[in-house]
Amino acid sequence: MASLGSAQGPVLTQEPKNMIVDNQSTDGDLKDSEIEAINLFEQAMEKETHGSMSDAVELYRRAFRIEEKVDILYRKVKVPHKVQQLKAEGGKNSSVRVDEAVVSSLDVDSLLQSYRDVDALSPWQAKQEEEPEDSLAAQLATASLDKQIPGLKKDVSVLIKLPHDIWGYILEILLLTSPESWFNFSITCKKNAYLGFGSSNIWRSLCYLIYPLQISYENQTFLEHHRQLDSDQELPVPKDQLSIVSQYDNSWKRMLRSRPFIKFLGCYISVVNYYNEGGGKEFTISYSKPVKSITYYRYLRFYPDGTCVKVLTPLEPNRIVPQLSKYNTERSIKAFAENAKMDNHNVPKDNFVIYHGTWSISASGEVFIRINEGSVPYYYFHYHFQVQSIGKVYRHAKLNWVKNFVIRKKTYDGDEREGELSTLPLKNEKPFKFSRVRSYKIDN
Amino acid sequence: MPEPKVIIISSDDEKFPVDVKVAEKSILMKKMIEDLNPDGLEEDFEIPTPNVRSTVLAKVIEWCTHHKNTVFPDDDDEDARKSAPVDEWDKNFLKVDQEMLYEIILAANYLNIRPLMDSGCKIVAEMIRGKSPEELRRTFNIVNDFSPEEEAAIRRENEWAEDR
Repeated sequence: MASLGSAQGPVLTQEPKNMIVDNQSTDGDLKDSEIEAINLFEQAMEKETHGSMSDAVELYRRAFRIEEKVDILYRKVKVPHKVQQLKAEGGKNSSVRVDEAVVSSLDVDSLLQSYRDVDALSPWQAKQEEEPEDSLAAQLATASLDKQIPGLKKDVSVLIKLPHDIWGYILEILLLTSPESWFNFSITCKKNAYLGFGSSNIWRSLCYLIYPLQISYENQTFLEHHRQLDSDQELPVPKDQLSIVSQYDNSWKRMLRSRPFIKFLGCYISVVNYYNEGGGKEFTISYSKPVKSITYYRYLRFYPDGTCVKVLTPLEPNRIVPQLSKYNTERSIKAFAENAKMDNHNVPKDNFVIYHGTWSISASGEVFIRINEGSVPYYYFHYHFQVQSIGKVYRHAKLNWVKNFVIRKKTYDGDEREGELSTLPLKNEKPFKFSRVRSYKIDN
Repeated sequence: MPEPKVIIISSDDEKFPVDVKVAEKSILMKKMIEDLNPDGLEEDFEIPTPNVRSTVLAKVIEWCTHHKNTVFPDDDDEDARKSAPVDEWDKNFLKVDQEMLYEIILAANYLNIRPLMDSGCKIVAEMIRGKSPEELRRTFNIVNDFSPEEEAAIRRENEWAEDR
């Protein structure tokens, strides 16, 4: 039961706006009980997106108990409002059902190039193109309208007519300081799509913002063996991006699409959710056994200096994300009033600790993480992932587990178990997905 | 004898006498002054700017005069320059309508006044920042001319790149 417009990737702000139960579309004609049921229903959907299944089920149950047609009611009351909101932000094409076959048959690159000489149109110009004023009556009608309402025939902002290279520069400023604004501007019309997506300069800038910050596994290994690097000796993965782009037909865009990288302006979250079958009461004749649902989250955040932080906890993203930083001097997630309560129960302290580690990425997108000081003092913790895309659309946005293992440290002189490797099961583990966090900078 | 001036002439033939120091904020004018007066200015020197109107030229000269002693950082670190916030004075100075902003950016580009051009572009970036596509269409008075399929395909291929 994902929310509308779920093609969007997850975006986390510190106060996720969808967390707030939105009442402003009120609903004058609704009974209090109906409003309460809808609120519960929305909370349930929220829990469900976060993967807290047992909480979600409980909330759905309560909602349906109050109002047995709450799902239909929700659709009737909230969905039109949501569609309108979507249109208000995205424009006429949002919430339009598109023909999948047509969409996937389009060659976006040549489409963008075909917009090269397209001019942006203002609303009245567009209207004129649609219905040329052939009738005299229509002409007269507009003519008289013009006199009455001079603002009606307002042209496209003159700023849109700035030369391409100046727009290129403005878009690079946005790329650097507010990447989503670069996208939002470029998706406004054909002309702007050409400026924002069609020029290789933009993609080159992106490559230079991304790849020089990656910690290369190959270079690290190489440097361990060649302490002294001759000046003319090339690293396995050269620093100079120009010498790499040739492997991608000299296309920066292609390089960005196919060459895996770690993202820094957000964090990676893995939601683990599984069921444990409990034992039934002794001598019970019931066939069903109690089932316990377990939900916890793994959080990872990377830094371009080769360090990373990790938290493993039952707490939801909005609790953790704002505090997930290597500069968090407490090295732990500050407990909220509610957690303090949990704390008295059997939630171990470990759930709030921010562990520090190091990372590197191989040319083929394998990510290696090592945590020296983890939850067990005599182990080095190793995580091994593969960067992958989510559904071919959200590129390099997922970390799939490859291996989770520990290596025993030397605990005393002559420790025979030193270096012993134990592999941990991946049975219940789920991939990590990237979520952008607006408050995160490259290094804060 | 008073120090010789640079006389900048607008497209509509208005003359603006300024100090050499002010004119030299424009790299184009600086080069012209140096190339044509290898021994320094001995008398008033006229520079026509055939694509800059007098109202715009007056603004540009106001900027150059204000910043005549400002030392701008070198061009070395492009990214630092692009991400630096707009100077407060410039921000107020550029509180003008879109038409004037457009002409100032073009003039700064033509006269090669990098820091003014930077500020102008950043003001435009500021107009874009944080707005939804539909709000941006209103800001610039443009229509969405994509078919739903075109928009979906372009979105799908490019949107992911805003995450890094």
